[in-house]
Amino acid sequence: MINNFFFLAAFLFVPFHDFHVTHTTFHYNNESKSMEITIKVALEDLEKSIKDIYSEKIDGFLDTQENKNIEKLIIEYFRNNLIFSVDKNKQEYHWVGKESSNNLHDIYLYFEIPNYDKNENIESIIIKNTLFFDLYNNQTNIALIELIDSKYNLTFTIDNDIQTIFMNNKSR
Amino acid sequence: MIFNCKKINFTILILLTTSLLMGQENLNKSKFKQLHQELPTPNVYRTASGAPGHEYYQQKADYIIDVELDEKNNILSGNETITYTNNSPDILNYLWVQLDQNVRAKNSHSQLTSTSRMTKKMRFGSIRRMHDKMNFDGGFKLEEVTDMYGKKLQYIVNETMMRIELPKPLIKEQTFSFKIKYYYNINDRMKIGGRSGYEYFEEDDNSIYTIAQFFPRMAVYNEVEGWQNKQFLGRGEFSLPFGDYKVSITVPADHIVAATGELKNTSSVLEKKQIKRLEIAKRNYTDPVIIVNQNEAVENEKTKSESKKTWIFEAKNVRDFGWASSRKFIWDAMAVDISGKRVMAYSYYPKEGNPLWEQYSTRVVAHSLKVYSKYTIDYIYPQATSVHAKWIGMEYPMISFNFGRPEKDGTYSKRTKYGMIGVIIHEVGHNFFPMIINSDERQWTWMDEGLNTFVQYLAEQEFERNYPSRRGPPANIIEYMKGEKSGIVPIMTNSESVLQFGNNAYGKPATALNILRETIMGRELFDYAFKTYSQRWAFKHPTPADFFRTMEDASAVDLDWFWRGWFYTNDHVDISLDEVNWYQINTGNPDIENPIAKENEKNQNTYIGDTKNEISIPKTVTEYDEDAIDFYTTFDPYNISILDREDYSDYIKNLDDSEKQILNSDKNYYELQFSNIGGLVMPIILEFIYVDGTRKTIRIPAEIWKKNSNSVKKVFILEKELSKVILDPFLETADTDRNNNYWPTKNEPTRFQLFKQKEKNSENQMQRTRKVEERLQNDK
Repeated sequence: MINNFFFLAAFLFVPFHDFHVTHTTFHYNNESKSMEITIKVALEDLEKSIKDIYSEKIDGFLDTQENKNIEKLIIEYFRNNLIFSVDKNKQEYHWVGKESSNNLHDIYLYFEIPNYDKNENIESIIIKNTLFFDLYNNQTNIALIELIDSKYNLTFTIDNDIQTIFMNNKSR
Repeated sequence: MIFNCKKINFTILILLTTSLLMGQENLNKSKFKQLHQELPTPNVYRTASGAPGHEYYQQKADYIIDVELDEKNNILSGNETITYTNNSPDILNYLWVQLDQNVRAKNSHSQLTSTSRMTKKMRFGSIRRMHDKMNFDGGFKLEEVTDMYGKKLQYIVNETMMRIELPKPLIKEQTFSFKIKYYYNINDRMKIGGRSGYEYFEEDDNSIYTIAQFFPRMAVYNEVEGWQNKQFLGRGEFSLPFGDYKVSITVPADHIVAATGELKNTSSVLEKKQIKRLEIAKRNYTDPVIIVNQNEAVENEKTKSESKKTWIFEAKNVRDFGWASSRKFIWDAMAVDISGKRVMAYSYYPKEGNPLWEQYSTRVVAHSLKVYSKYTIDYIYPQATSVHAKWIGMEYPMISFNFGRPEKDGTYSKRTKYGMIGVIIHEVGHNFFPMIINSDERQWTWMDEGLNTFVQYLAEQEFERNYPSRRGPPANIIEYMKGEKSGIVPIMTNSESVLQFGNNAYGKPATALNILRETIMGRELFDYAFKTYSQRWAFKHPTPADFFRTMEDASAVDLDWFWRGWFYTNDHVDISLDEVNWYQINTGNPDIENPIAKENEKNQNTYIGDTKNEISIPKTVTEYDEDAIDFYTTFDPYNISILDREDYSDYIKNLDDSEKQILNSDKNYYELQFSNIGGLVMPIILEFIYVDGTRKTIRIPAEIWKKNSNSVKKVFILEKELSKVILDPFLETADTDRNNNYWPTKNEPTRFQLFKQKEKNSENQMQRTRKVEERLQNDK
């Protein structure tokens, strides 16, 4: 079988002592009934990804004033590469904000699924996480899902980018 | 019959397996069990104290190398003489030589074993890189391998390793010299990456060459691994013996060369004014002196010399050699005082590195040498060099290649600045680990990266208060340690199999050492032990056991549990404060205790039926019929009789003074219950906050878990009543879940919630400011 693939104009560089891991937490807030999403990524990787795909210069965008255009690109990138589905229904999430880590290396991005349907009859949660797989072969993405009485810890790699949690199997 | 027989065998087998399993369950699984099974048996080469033994030996490899850079074709050709000395008691029949460049050879194992895949959307860059890698004709091209008389030696190349047959066996204290003539194509770092190679600058048609692994190098032979000839796959770095080097580097005459060691033919390669400036720099201990300034470098890069110059460097007792060459180099230097001895700090960078490099590089080199010398051993090499190299940070003896490039308009982000300072500290720091304290990188990445990252953290904090360090503080490792266990391997894992390299080999060991220093051993004991390890193993080849043992040997702190937990498992820290129970002494004095007991009974919850009956039954029989009353109807158990008082005074009489004191002390007894959810045993650090608002810190060593590592109780006798208890109040144990660290229970807000709160607050702040402005206008 021959697969078609597209070229995306891009620069690619792999610095030597850089190791590629992202951390995402899905935390269900029982008070606000919303799913709070916190994503930690290396600022450098995010810049590279946005720059490569959209030919946008976003270097140092944290230091400058809000830039709605760049924010839009970031939101689009995450909506395309981090997909959270409940019983195969893709959940839309809203932009909350971003902030730099204290060590300047990472950026935290905040999204939210308001009115998250916490139906008892939910059978499965499916997460597809392809953050930066287009940049690095050795990318590892870690996701922690914190529901009211259960926690799930998932690892995504280029060979394993979709994971399903079956809700009747409440193991930690 | 046959059938029966089988059946019996099967039963026996089951019996055997079950008893085996049961046997395993009954083994000592204490988290405080000593590491006798994990660590190698001490011997005459390596002692149980962690010091080198009386028969310790190491091999020596001396090099005389002549190389020439062909700038037009990006080819490096070389001629080397290796003199190998066998100091081992063993007889060697062959030698193993490392051909690291072969990692870039077509169809190398490194390329074959790295996984790759196609996706529907591929970036141009990814495809181009795959093409570039595939098309690059890398690897050493060996032309001649001969003895000193030109006689060919038999050899075989197995990927990145070459076995040379010795004409006759090499016995103890014998030396064998041989020559290798070779060349290789230098890789374009921007296209296919690499620890070394060149970066091409299109604007002025020049390159910066950062050259390393450029000559066939001797492998290490010792009593730990035999020949360390594990193939170079790209991640597990290097394992190299010490030796003396004389390297002659021939480059275009207008290049400036930086290298390991000392320049020996200054007058024939440097201009007079440069030599003069260098002399001034040697006396300047406060700030860098420019040897080649930016104007001169810019002028220099405009033309290309057709003639050549040979730079000769010598280095004593180093394990490797690296160099850099370009006509783009600006060069500055300053002197550093290390315990009264002068060491030179050098930086080489193109105009593209400024203004950052001129201001910081050499200063940071000097700072790193001072801090590392304080915590390990005095830096004894004559110089330390930082060379500007986009995207990478890579270390060699006395020379390192470091990133940090400002924007073209000369501005730079905060991240670029601190990234550059951090990488220079780190790579200069590698002079100590592993260049001097020469651990086996091919086997254990953490031994150099982890230890180095730890001292890097100390150096960063001494560079600027609250320096934004990436690795070191326990809080920074939590995200990694609480991750899914299949994505985490113990620190004690071979370099090539490590998952999450940065966290595993850099972050976690650096944090572990920081925790030892701040929480478990204390600074004084830790610093002495860490320095002892550095002194014992400087210019030698340490193993993990030598480090583990020395840290204990020099401090009298049993750390086996710590090494076992933090280095041999992927457990994490999550200690939970489950319960706080408050007790006060029953004095036995009826005049005190009876009213209390009565009050307690009154305060107990009442059954609903009883409450209703109070109203619905106006009078019971005993209430309206006096004849129904007897002794028990009116008896009050809390009434105090003369006999009760007599009993009490008899009881008091039998107590001695100290017992009486306890009885009347009016203390509060708090029983705290902890459980260990994460698996790692750690000290329990508590902050007591009393009802009057005062605070007290309690530090309990990890050995509280020695008999039960799952759950423990501890009683505290306190003068005052408690209002709050906080577990790990100073964020020092990397506890991954802090929601179970409080009494009364308190959930720490998540980062998300904090951010949202902050957003709200900042809006209020704006509204507030606006209100202030409006008020001011109205007042006018």
